[in-house]
Amino acid sequence: MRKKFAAKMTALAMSGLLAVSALAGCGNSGDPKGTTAAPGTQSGSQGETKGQTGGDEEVTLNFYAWLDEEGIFTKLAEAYKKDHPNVTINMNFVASADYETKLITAFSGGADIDCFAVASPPSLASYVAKNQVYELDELISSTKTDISGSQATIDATKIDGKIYSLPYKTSSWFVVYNKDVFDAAGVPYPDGDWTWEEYAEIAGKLTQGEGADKVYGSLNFQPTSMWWRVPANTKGAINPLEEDQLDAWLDAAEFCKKLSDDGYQPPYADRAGEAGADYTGAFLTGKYGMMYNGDWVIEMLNSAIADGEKCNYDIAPIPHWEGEKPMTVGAPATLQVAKNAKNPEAAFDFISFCTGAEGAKILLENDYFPAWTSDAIVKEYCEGKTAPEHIEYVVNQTNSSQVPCDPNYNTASNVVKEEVSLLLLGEQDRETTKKTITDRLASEVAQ
Amino acid sequence: MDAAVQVKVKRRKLNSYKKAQRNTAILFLIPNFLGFLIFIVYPVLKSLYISFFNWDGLGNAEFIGIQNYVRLFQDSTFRISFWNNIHYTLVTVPLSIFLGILIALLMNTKIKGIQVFRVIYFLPQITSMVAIGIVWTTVLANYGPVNQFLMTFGMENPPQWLSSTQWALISVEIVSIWRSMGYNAVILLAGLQGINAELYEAAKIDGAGVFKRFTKVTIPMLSPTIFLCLVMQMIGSFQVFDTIMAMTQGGPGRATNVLTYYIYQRAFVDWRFGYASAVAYVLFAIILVFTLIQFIGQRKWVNY
Repeated sequence: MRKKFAAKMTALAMSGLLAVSALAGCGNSGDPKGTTAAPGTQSGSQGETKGQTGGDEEVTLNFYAWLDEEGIFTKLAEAYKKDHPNVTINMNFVASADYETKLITAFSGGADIDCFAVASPPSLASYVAKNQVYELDELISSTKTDISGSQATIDATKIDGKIYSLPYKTSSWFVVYNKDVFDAAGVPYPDGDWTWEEYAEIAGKLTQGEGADKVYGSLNFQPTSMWWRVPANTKGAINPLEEDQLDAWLDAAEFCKKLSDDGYQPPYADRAGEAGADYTGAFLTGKYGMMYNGDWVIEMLNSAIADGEKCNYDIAPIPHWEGEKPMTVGAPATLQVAKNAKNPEAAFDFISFCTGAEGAKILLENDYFPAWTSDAIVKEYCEGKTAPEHIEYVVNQTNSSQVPCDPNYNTASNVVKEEVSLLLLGEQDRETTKKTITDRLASEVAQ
Repeated sequence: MDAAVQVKVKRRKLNSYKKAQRNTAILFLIPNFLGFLIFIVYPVLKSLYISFFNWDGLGNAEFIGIQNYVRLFQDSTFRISFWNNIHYTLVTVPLSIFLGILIALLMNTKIKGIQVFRVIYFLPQITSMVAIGIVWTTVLANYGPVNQFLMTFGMENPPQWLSSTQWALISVEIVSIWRSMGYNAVILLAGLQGINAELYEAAKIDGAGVFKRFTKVTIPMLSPTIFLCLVMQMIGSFQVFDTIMAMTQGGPGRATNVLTYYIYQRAFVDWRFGYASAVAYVLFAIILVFTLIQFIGQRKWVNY
């Protein structure tokens, strides 16, 4: 309680300070974007004004998000306002498909934005590159905000070592397995710590039969996406623009190809096109022992089972590489304070509420997967859920970002996706793939 | 002075009817013309302007002269997309028109229920490309109906239609031809029905056989319609996007990447509006050149 009160006081103090400095004519007058004002200088004067302002001063925050998030942020804002009656939050929701374009236009038009959400770290990075995001390290330390619940994701989404955003939701990868396939092959269920090598070995043991009735041990690709890279992600290789990480991605691609070549999973070409996209449908046929997948698959499988499909499944943690720490990854969406926020402290207070323990609880109640984890969240997540048996593995793993804060990530990963698909189809060897990727990244990624 | 004013007034009176008409015409034209100016002319000129800048959609655009255009020609994806476009055009345009003529000839016969066939052939044109894409990717899947059929006839390794670089573009072309031939057929049918029956009668009297009548009467009389189809199809084929998007997303690798898809990716995936505009202008130039060639060439074979 005391902490929150302090945060509130700071926010109020800062809003007062800003009002005063606005009256005084604002030092950096020639620079409407305020880009020359270092965050440090603002908080340095914080102590002096504290106590002078205060009281229940009215604060208005302009918040931007896309339309899909309307429900959740409306609820978060309502919950926040219970403790902060002086804060008015103007919610602006933009059609999801146009969100990036609209936000860019709003920023370049100098619109009043205090805090906003983005769907992925690369797009966060592009706003940071465009100098539109407020750096948060100072505020986090001065307000002693607890970020331990999403520390790994925050660490993975730092830019030049600085924190610009707090993640509010993410996803989580794990292995889904078909118990019947394990029973038929007499293989014990995976549980807890295991490596990718063991995954491949088990996939081999599970593979049975021939032709149309063949049961495959594994399914770890989907032709329309880049699932094959997940093993690389689990050792922190998330950005193909870094050469060593690209090598790790190619290792993962070869790992995927070897599973196919060994016959433990279908050839890549067989699932190309739309047909390959229906992975739950494939898994429900009972012809696959394991596949790795994210938190969304549980809802898909459970509702299919409720509709009469037969599938006896459970989940296990995502494997790790020999010698690496076990860790799962997810694609976080983040909240940030705008560089030109009229009231950065109040905006920060709101986003830290949404991304912290209290926000996580509300997110969870609304079927969102919060980026914040703690024992309480694990307990809450698993409560009342009977299937799968080990549902706690969705939430109790260390969760880091599988997407880097690099504005060129989407371009780069598209190039990698195209070239690796040729490797997976057996039309291109690793050396050519790497060379083509390197050449294309050099010419296609914006400089 | 007075005289001059009088003359002016007279002229005004004389032209007042014309003027009123002109004003009405302008009033009728304004809504459409404004729309054209704002939504077509302005963006077209603006994108030409942008193509000389490095601009990510926010903040200041950096003027870089013709660098975007220079980079284009060093960009392997641009080259591949360009040749894919040429291949696509050279295959789909002649074939869809040739098949369109055949279908139009068949539809021109007086068979009962021919109306039904006309509708059937035209259906792909009005069907959502997304639906078409899903159906065809299923049909052409490795173990899909087409390959099952080929295998029952003893083909051991049927083509991997959509999952090999060798076949993917051809598969897309097949679907495009299938989709556009019915449309061509309907336009050509209208052309066929416009041919004066007396011409055939006269040819018959002169002793022309079926084949002669086709080459010496039908084709020349149909040539303006064929020319129309040719121009429309060619422009359309250079702008192909939905078929690619729905079937292959440019893959596998870059085997079915075409220029419009490339523009889309550069602009709306990478936020490189300057570069994307440069590609768009190169595509515009290509289409312009091809269309000019056709308009010059038409003098040799089109009868009006």
